[in-house]
Amino acid sequence: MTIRSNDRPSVEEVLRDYSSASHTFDPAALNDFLHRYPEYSESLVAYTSVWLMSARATSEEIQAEEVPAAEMLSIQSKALALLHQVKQQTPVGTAPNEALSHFDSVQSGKRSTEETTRLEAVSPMSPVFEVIESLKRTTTDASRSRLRAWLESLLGRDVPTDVSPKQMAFRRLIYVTEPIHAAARASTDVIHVNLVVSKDERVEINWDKVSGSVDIRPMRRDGSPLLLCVVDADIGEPVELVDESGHLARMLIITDQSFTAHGAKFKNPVFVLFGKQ
Amino acid sequence: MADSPGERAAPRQPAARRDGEIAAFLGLGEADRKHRLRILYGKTQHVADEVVCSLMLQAWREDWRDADAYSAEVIRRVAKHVRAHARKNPGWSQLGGGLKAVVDDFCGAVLIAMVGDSADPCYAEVAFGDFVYRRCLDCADKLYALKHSGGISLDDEESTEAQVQQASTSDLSSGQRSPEQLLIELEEELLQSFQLEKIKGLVQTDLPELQRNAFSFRYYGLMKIESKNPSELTVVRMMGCTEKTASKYIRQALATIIERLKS
Repeated sequence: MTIRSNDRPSVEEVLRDYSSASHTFDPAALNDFLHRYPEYSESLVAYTSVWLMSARATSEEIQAEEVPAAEMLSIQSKALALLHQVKQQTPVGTAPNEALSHFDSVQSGKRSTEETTRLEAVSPMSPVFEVIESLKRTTTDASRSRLRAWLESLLGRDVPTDVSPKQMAFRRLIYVTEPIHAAARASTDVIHVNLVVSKDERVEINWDKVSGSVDIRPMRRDGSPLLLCVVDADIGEPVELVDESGHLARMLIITDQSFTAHGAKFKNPVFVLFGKQ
Repeated sequence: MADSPGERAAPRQPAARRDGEIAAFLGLGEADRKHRLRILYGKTQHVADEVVCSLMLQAWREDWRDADAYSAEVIRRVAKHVRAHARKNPGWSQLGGGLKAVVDDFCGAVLIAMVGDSADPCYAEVAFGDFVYRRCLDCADKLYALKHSGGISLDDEESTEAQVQQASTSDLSSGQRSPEQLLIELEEELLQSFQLEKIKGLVQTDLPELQRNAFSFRYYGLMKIESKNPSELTVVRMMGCTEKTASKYIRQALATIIERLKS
C-alpha cells in the first residue's frame, strides 16, 4: 500500500471533483479549482478543453443506438471478465472505490509484495462487518473529515477529538454496530467474526449478545493460539493486541458503551483496528 | 453552443436511491425479472438504468447468484450510451483505435468506475446517463493526454509562438483587414453557415492541439480572448500565451474549419 507523502489529492481526484462540480462548463468552478490546485492547472485546462469540444449524445440518440449482437456479446464478455478480475483482487467488504486501484494494479501487472500480502490477508471475510482499506485516502484532510463524519453518523455522537491524524490513518477500519445485532444468529445470539490481520494471523471475535461479553482471540492461520494481552482502555485510547513476537494489532475504542472481555473493560464493539504498527 | 456557462449542477448526490422500485423488482419472480429487464426505454414497466445499476452493485457486493445477469444488463446499457457518445465525437475514435476499440475500453472504464464509487448511493445510481458521459470524458481526456505526451500532434508548437509574432506584425502592416475585423467576419460566417455540432467533429479531428484549445475556449467556453480583469478566465490565461498568439490560433482554426466544411 502506498502512503502519500502529503495531504493533497491526486490529479485524478481533482479532475473527477471538477467534472462533478457543475452540470455544464462553469468558469467559476474552473477558476475555483485553478486557485485551489495550481499544481494541476495544466491538467484542468486540458480537461476543460476536452469537455468543451466534446458533444453529448441525446437521450434519443442513445436509445436509437443499436449495438450489433456479436459486438455487444464481445463488450459484455470483456467487461464481465474485467469485473470478475477486479472482484477477485478486491477484499470482500473493502470500500468499493479501492477497486479502481486494484484494477490498475491488475491491468499494469504490477503489484507490490506488500499489496499481494494485504490482498491475501483480508479475504475472505464475513459480510456482517465492513472493512475499509483507505490509508491513501485517509492521509488527506478531506478524507479524514469524511471519515470522521462517517464515524460520527455511525455512532450518533462526536468522534473523540484526541484521535490524531496518525491514528486516523488507519490500515483497517472494522465497525461492528447495529447491523451485527440484526445479523445475530437467533438461536445463540452470538456473533462470530474471523478477522484476518496478516497473512499468517487472524483474530477471532466472539460477541455474546446476551451476556454482552466479547471474546477476542488472536490465532495463527493454522489454528494455533497466540497470547493475547488486552488492556483496559478509554475512549480514544488504543488497545493493543500483543503476541509473543510483538504487536499484532491495535484497536481504538470509539464509543462509551461498556462491555467486558478477558477481564478488561471494553466499550461498545466499535473498533478501529490498525493492523501491524 | 452546447455547453452554456453558469448552470450549476445539483449536488453530486441529488436524489435517493430508488429503493421502492428496487424492492418491487426484487419481489418479482425470476422469469418476470428477466422479462422486465428486456422492456425498452419509453415502454411501460421499463426498469430505469439507475435501478438496474443499484441491482448490479448490490448483487456484485453480496455475491448474488444472478450477479452476472445484472452486470450484463448494465454493460448493455452502458455500451449504448458510450457508442452514441463516441459516434458524436470522432476524435475519440481517431485517437483510441477506432469506434469498437473505444467502446470496449470506455465501457470497461465506466464499469470499473461504477463499482469503484464509494458514495452511497453512488453517482450512477442517481444519474446514470450523466455518470456514463462524465466517465467517457475522463477516458477521452486520457486519450488526448496520451496523444500530447506521445508527440502525435501535428502542431509545430515550439516555433508557433515566434511565427505568430512575425506573422501578426506583417498582418497588421499589410493594410488588409485587421485581425479583429477578420475574426468578426469569420465568426459571423461560421455562425450563419454551419451547425456547431458538425464543427465539433472537425475541431476534434482536424485541428492541431493549440488551435483546438483556443477555439474551444473561445467559442464553446465563451471566453474572451483577453480581459483587463485579472480574475476573468480568458483564452490568453488558459493557454499562457499572448493575445496576438491566441488570436492567431483562433483565426487559423476558423480558417481550417471553414475550408473543411466547404470542401
